[in-house]
Amino acid sequence: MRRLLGRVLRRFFGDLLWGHSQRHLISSSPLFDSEWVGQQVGQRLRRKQAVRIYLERAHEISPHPFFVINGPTDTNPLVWFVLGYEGRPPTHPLVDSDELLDRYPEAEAHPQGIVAGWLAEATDASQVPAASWIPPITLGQARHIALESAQRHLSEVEDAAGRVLEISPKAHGGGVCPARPILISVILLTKDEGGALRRTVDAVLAQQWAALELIIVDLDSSDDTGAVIAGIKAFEDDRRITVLSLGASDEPEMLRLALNACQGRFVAFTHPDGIWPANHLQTLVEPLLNSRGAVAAQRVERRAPFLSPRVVSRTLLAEPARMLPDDLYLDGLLVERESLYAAKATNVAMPSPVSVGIILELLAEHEVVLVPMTADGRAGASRRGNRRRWGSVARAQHLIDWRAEAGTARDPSLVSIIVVVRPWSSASLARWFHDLKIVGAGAGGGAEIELLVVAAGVSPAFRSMLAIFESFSPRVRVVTVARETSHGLAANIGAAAAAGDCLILAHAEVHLDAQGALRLADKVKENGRIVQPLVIDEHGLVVGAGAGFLADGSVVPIFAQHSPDEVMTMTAPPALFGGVIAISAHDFFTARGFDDGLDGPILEIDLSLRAEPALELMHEVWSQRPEGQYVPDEEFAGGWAIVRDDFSDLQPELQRLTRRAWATSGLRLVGLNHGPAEGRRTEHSGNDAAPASSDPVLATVAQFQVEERPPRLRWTIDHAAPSGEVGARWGDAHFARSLAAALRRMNQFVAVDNRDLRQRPTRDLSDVVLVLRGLDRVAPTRGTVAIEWIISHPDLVEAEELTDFDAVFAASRKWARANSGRHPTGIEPLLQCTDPAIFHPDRDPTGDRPEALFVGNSRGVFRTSVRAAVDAGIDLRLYGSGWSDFVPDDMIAGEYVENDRLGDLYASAQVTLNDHWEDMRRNGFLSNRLFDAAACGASILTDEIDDVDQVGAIFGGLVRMFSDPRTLRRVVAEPERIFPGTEDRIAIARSVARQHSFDRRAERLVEVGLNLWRRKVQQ
Amino acid sequence: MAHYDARGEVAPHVRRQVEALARSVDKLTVVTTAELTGESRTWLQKHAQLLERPNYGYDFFSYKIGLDANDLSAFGEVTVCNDSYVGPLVPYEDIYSRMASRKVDFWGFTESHRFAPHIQSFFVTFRPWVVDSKAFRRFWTTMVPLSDRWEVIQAYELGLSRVLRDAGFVAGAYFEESPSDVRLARRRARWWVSRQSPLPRSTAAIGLLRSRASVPWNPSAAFADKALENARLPFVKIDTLRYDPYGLDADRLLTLCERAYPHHFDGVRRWLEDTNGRAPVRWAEKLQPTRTLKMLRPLVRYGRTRA
Repeated sequence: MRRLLGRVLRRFFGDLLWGHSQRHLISSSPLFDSEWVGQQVGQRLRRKQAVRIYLERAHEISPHPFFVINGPTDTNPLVWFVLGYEGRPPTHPLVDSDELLDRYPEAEAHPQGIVAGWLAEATDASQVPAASWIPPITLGQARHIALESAQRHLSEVEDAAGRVLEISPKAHGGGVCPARPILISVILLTKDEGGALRRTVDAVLAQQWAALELIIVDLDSSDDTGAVIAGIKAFEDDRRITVLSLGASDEPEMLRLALNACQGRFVAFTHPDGIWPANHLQTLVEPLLNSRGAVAAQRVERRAPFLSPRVVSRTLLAEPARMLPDDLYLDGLLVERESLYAAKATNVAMPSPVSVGIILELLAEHEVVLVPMTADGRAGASRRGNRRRWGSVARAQHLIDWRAEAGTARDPSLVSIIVVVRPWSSASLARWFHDLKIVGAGAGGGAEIELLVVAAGVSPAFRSMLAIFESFSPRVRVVTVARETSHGLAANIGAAAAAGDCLILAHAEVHLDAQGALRLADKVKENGRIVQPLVIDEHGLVVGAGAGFLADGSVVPIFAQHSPDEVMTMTAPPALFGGVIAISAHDFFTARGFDDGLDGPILEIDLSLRAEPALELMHEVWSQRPEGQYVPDEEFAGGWAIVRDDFSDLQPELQRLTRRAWATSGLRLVGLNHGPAEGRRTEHSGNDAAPASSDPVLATVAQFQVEERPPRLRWTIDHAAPSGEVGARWGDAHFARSLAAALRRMNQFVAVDNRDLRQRPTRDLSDVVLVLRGLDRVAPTRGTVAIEWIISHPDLVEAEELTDFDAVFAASRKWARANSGRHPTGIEPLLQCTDPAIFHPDRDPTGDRPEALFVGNSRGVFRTSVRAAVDAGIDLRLYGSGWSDFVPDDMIAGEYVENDRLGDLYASAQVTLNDHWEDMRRNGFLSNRLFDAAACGASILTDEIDDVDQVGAIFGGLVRMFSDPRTLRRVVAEPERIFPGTEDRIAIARSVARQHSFDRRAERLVEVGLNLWRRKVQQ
Repeated sequence: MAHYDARGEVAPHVRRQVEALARSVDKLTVVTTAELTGESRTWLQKHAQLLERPNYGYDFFSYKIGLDANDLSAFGEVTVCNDSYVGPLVPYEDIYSRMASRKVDFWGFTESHRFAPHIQSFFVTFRPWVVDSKAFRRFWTTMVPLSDRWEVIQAYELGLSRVLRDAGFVAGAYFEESPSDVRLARRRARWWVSRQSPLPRSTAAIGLLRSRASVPWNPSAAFADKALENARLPFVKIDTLRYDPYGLDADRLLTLCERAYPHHFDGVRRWLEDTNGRAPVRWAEKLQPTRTLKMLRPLVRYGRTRA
């Protein structure tokens, strides 16, 4: 009664409250385009019909050409989006929300989000609010391209449907009762699937069509398959079951032998994942007998995006090489034994299973009878996991002519970048278009680049999005594959379509700019190698610098989570890994490209081990893989488990190369940490295979040379700047890089960690961690020598902080003297310094000579020296950001100056202005600008520093102080009278460069660091 | 057969079990962790191959010692069992004969679904292809002695069935639960749960009680009185008689069993009384007082169908 009442309530009120409101919500949404929905399903629909169809197939079709998001699987994506409970993601990579709000501010008020707000007001003539780099396009144009794209694809698919005879259930409903039972041979190929075997066999033996024999072919299983089969045979009629255990033969051979053992007129197939319903054979054999055909195939009733099951089945059989899914097995077929015997696929040397290959051959030769699906969800289910995707391998044989491709002449001046995209990678794709600068504003810089986007099994909305981007530039080409396929096959199909002589193959989630791509291509052309860039995450931590091989047979990304600086000394990784590789087309096709049956990161490793050319890592080219897009351990390990045996002979050499690669950075492999990775050996799992992934345990090796040089320690310099482009411009970042270069000149290994990399797990592999104290307090890294060098913001230094470190330096004599008692060994003054390679008195003064120059950001305040200059009314030239609120725009010469150009600027100005943070000025911390400008021989005016003697001793007459605008005005008016003459200036500059260079500071740091390290080691 | 006796003796029901086994199998190996008296040692040596070992690692490690000491390929089936039950109440020959036609790869007296489906390890028989399998060999060769009863259950009792099932082998049980058995077991499980916790005073507590009551039962305890139905269950576990884990009146069960099977249960009550002081306390099996639920007890107690 209660159940009945519930049903009634749901039926009436549920529909009213939920179903009706959904329909209304969709129907009234500007994000619902009924013509677009109709186009995707090949029908002209009224809005009401379109809403109904969209509700039924919401996860297969999209409601609007500008709605390319999937949303959660358990709810309608459009409803989920418009309700916006969990926020609203971008609907289409073409639509830029900032641009949209700039152009259509009223869109913000729309209850279904800003895109709906824009579409509610937009007409066909409205410009799509795209990012500024995208060429202008109207909504009407974009929509037209999308509709055409959907129409084109639908036509291609439907035209392909052909000669398939479909038997409706009614046609064979009565069944056929042959006078004598017709024997069906059922072949079960199995390898290491003993765990699932029993249920499969039971399902076969329980068939209503009792006239059957079961041929179990054990493909050299290493598990207990043999014992399980022995158990089955012990209780079954021996005449019905034949077991073939034929050792390590390939599958075609096994299949041939199995066919020889068959007695039946028809042959059916099953596999250990498939559980047949009791009527399975009966359903297949009866229509086949009626039609006198040779092959009966079950109709595929799994839905494919935007196609009806019937269309899928027909096109699948009509154009199988493109349409067959990888996970299709032979379960759904019943074939005349003679026909099967003749199928060429049995002669193709291809490892197990060859299902798709056989199906392709049979379909080419015979008429196919389609019958309804009988098997349950398990039959023909995906058998992915750690398996090669043989369906893709078989399809590749029909889609790519390797020999012809290897011999094809390609354009030597063109670089073809092949990016395989997945349905979820639309945002990544937009970034490729942007970074390569081959569409819209700024295009032309990479004229020798073409971008091939390979999309396999994507939705019509995704295709239409690609079509819009394709329309922007002839250098963008989209290659579509109807069915979802392996990454390897998709990339190979893209490569075959490439026109360039150099191929760059990339995963969609990894990014590379045009300049990087061209540099990789140049390297390939220069030395014929296979090259990869250094792949880093968004903070600058290494993600991919190649792959290494461990003694337990596993593979790992080498230098993963290290600083890029640590990889600089390695040029030849044992194998490539990272997500981007560059290779000549000839080498790629000669090596038969990527393995068609593989996905993911293992593709590059496999190719780089198979292909002839040597491998090279270009550290200077960086490619970015966003955080969160790391390769999962299990994917990495799982992929390697598939191909590992192919390279067993190479293992000793690969392990040697791996050790050598680490040794280039002063690291030694001392052990392995067997984490909970996929494929790991466990006592009870029955998995005897070698582990596919372990973590290497590395240790530092202090290298001593037989020469008069200090030992080679591993240093990490920590600075306060953040990661990214902005952080790279901070003075702290420049300072750290220059110091690192100086330490390297002293033969030290040096890594530089910015603020975001402080917690990297490989930092404790350093011998010495040198903290350049800036805005943050940094905890010393355990197990290393810890040195702090306070170069700025002394007021932020906490009393107890100093004792955390083994040694402390300060860039102020005064402050060091005053605080020396706060550290057991005292605080040593170590002033800031300059890089004489950039800052020296021989720089060329450029252009006109402004009265005064200031280089620095405003930091949100009207800085002392700039304010004084403005108040004094002098001709000031400003470089830096954040000044527009304080000074007239014509005073600002630029927001940023490359460090290399700074020397020329200092040399050209009559007077260079300088000032300090208040606490630095008060505590006598001399800014590095003083050292840089002085090393160029510039005349410098700075705010009053509370250590006049120190300033005079270092800079002589080059640095003068001002206290107010009047003083500043007077000095600027007569610099020749105030500052020394040219010769004296040059002499002082040379003295500064000599005594206050990064090299001198590095010498002192190495001396102290080495003493502390020795003490630590002895302890 | 794994044997342990705190007093170094061989209990009367164990002697009957050894004699029955020795009559039914080609070779019986008894592995004991008891410090045997001279008489017990002599008696056991007379009926079986006797292996003595120190007392660690519970019965599973004794199984391993016994299996290692034999060439298992020489036998049609291999059984491991311990001395924790009174029985068999029907001849072993009948049991083996009935199970010979069952399409299973390994079997036991009972199959439990508590924690995971498994054959209860006090009696398990393996077909020769299982004995010859890699999974079986790996299980025993990698075994290390564990000294915590719960760990042994998890790793070895549940582990043995799991390893063999994962390898593709099918398990079966001599005792097959009928629908009425299942209904009775559910009632008894609810009774057991209600005695483990105070009376629920909130909807949430009732929900918790219901969810706990839905966990699978231990068939050896829940169906112990099926021994009285023409020995459908061909044994009664000593633990059931000693601890009465479901609170179903084990004393009554013992009385009924003594009446039905005087030969098999001769001396069992005495032995239980004599060894009670040495048996470990199982705190987890302590139940709440039953005053409020007393009137429900007749619905579930042992021997209800026959009493």
